[in-house]
Amino acid sequence: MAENQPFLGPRDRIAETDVIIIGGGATGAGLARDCARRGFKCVLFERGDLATGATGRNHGLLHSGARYAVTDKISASECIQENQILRKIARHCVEESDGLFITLPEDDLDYQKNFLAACAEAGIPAQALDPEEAKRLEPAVNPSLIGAVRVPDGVVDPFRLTVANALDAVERGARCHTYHEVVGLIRRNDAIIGVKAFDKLTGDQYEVRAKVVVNAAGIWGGFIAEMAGVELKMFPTRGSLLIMGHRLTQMVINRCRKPADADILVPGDTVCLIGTTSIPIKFSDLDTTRVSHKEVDILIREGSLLCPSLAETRKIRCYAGSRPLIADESDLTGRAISRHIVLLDHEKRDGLKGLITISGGKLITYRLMAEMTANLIGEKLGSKATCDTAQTPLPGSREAPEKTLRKIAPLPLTQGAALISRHGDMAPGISAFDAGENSLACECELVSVGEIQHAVNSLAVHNLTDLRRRTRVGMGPCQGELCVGRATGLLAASGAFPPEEAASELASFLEERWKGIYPLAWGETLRESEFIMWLYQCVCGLKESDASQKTTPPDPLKAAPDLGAADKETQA
Amino acid sequence: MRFDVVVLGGGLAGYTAAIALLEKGLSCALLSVGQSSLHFSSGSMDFLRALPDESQVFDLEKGLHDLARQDPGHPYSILGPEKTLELAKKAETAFASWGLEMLGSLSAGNHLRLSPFGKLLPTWLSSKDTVFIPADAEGRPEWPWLKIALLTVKDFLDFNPEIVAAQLKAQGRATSCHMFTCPDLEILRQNPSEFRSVNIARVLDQESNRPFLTEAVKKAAQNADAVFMPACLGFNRPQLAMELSKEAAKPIRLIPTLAPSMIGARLNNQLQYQFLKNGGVLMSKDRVVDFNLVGDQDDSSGSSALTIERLHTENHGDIPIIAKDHVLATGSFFSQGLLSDIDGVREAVFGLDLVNVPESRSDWALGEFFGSQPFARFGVKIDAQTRPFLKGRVLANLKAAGLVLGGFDPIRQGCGAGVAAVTALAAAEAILS
Repeated sequence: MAENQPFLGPRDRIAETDVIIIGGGATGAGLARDCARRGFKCVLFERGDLATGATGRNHGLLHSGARYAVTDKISASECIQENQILRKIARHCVEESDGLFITLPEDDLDYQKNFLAACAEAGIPAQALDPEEAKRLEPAVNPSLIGAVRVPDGVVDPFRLTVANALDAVERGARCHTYHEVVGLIRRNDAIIGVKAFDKLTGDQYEVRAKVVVNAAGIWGGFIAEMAGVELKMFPTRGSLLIMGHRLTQMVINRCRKPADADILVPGDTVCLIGTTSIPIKFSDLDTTRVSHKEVDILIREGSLLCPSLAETRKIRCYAGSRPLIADESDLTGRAISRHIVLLDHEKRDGLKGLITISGGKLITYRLMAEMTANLIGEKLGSKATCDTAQTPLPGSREAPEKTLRKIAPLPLTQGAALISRHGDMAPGISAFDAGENSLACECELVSVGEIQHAVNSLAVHNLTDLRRRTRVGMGPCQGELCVGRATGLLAASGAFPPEEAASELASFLEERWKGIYPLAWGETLRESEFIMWLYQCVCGLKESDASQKTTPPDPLKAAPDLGAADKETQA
Repeated sequence: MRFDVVVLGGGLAGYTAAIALLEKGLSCALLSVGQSSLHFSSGSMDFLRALPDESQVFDLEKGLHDLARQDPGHPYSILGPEKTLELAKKAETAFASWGLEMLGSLSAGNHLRLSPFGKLLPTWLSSKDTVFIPADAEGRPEWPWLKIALLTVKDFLDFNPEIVAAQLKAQGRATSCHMFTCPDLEILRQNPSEFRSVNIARVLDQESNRPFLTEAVKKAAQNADAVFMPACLGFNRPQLAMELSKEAAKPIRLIPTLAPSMIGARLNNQLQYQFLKNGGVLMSKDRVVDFNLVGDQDDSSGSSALTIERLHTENHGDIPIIAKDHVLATGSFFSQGLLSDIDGVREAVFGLDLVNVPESRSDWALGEFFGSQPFARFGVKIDAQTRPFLKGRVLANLKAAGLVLGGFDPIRQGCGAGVAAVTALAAAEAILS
């Protein structure tokens, strides 16, 4: 193992800091990085694992901005600007696949003209292609297309991206506490001066003071605002997606029309995704988003129009996320939703010092959101430090993969490539010359024993779900078959949890995974499900009592009232 | 090609039916598409672990009568508790005479087996070299040993001794963990994906590696009443654990691992050996692609029976396979005896009538992983002679057995092997009568 291992921690507590960030999505982690690089002391609190909210529950599309070119110029130019930056600073999280916007016979070809003009205006390189040329570039595309435009869309792995930001932040002295829920804000007169944090792993509650508290909790930000006694009007809108068990295309495929349901197909690693639907939901349903059979049908129907083979391809999983949409404050009726970045200085807005909210925006604009927020924090702290996150590569992206490949232990070619694709230039610290460590625990995603041990020791992995986000164990075509049984043993052996809790950890993981599988229980997925149930319930003897045994401390926010009903009027 | 009987499916049900028929002097061919689900099993045979009301079963005779009341559509209930009991006892005798050395019996009730996660689970028959723990009438373990040594192979991922040890300690057992390796295993270990139970067993079964094994076992046994090892030895030498027991003067017993199951694969091999020894014709990697029915297919009254005239298989092209009778033992979804797509479910070979399939796809699966899944109960409808139906009409010269049948949940009820054995013998009886 290399000396300067990347490390996500430490878990030691401090009583005072400059900045507290609530929320470990891309924005929160990006802000921690930006703050740490400017020399602000900061602590990030995340109630679960990193990237568990909207950050990890979307397409993973590296927007070129083309999707917004016609309808939303501001978003479009923000996207293309950040798209170019992420290709440079986060290349191990990004796949430069390019994208096609296709026009089908039922679409209006005139829209393509507006689209090309709008892309040009926003600075998005867009090239109209002959339909034959498009089919040659992407043989899986719907062959009946009548027009196609090539744009610099790409694919981004949100888990890798968030972890890389957090690693850089910690390297620069920030503290990153996962499984810490902020259960209260400390208020003195007209200022927020700290938070009460609840450590879900130990059950301890403690206070940390800070000069500035940033609410970067995404759609859960409404609860934080409520604790502060300020109003944030948020509109949770669920977007559901479907994962196919194969990579059907090399490029991202969009419909060249006004954005609608299920019109983006994104390839990523060994799989591809189609999404999304858009359904307003209640706040009380935020943590229990399941995908309905009806949504599944819509996703398959619309997805097959982009790529006909999608209809017959095995569906392995569906999931849903809630976009952190927030009321457009410039709209007096309070009904309009802002699709843009919303940075609120509650001192100016509500007369409440020490609290900032950052919300809205998109995964791909996380860095810009962090920069804007850190600028405001800098003003408040009286700092003149400037932002360098747009120029400085993230850990993992500091060296070219070809160079990294020469430094890793001699592994089978595909295994080495998989390791570098997940960890970039951090791979040499993970690969080993020991056969036991190179042994594969997960054959779908080529995850070795050593990589799992590294994730537990250095990347704040506490359970099988965290491990999945760091290493893709259980994320491939089998969706967690034999690999999760092996990983359970390895996590117990690495001290992530005591061996007495192994059965309950595995049972909880299986129960959680099933939520995304049962709406797709037909064909090969049903076959695989029968096998997994047979294996873990019959052969291994896991029971529901194992799943319920896992003692998670009570969630103080569960009792929170419904902040906003999902009325029809909130629909965008 | 003409046979008395053609059996479709080379798992527990298929081989049981075929060997029983061969022993009665019938000629028999068996088609098998690939590895059966035995390769992914615990290697123990479950008869009935729990009733639909979730209560655990230890008295199997009483369990069958309770089941008949709670679940009349269960294959055991369709055959009737008395008949089921009779056939299960016949299966015990048959298995013993076929050289499957199993412990446990219907009359003794369920005993307990140890799972790869250290859970104690009620079961009917277990190979004699596995951990066999008697249970009292309430299902409490009657442990024969206090001090247990767990001996595992270094870097073997499909079995974790610490997890099992934690469970054994909770059972009041003093448990210690030990590890060993040998040069041949070190070579196998170099391949990142080949270090699995059956491959390891092939190494450990070699005579040249015996000294390493004996030494490790003796060392582990020093302060223990028994040594438990993951089931990765004794694949080609089923007596190996017993021989080691003698050398160490302590019982050496195996615990099933994650798949592949060496014990299950060994059972499959033993059944296949018996089948071939009795003169059976094995058509491996072959499947039925076409069939011909005779009888009035448009008989709207549904009273007349249909018969299978001939089968065509993938490997035999235009050479038909003609048999007087047939056994369908192709398994459930996992073994592809049942197929499903977004629009529906069907039996793979003949498109037989199914039971328990709801109209709407949204009713196929529950939202909870740990629940009695509706799809587990999908399967072929049979009568008390194990005859299936096609569009409401009896197929006179076809019997169905094992997991392809509907009306029961082998996962929740823990009755897969029992149903396979009992319905296979029922099918054989129906053919012989």
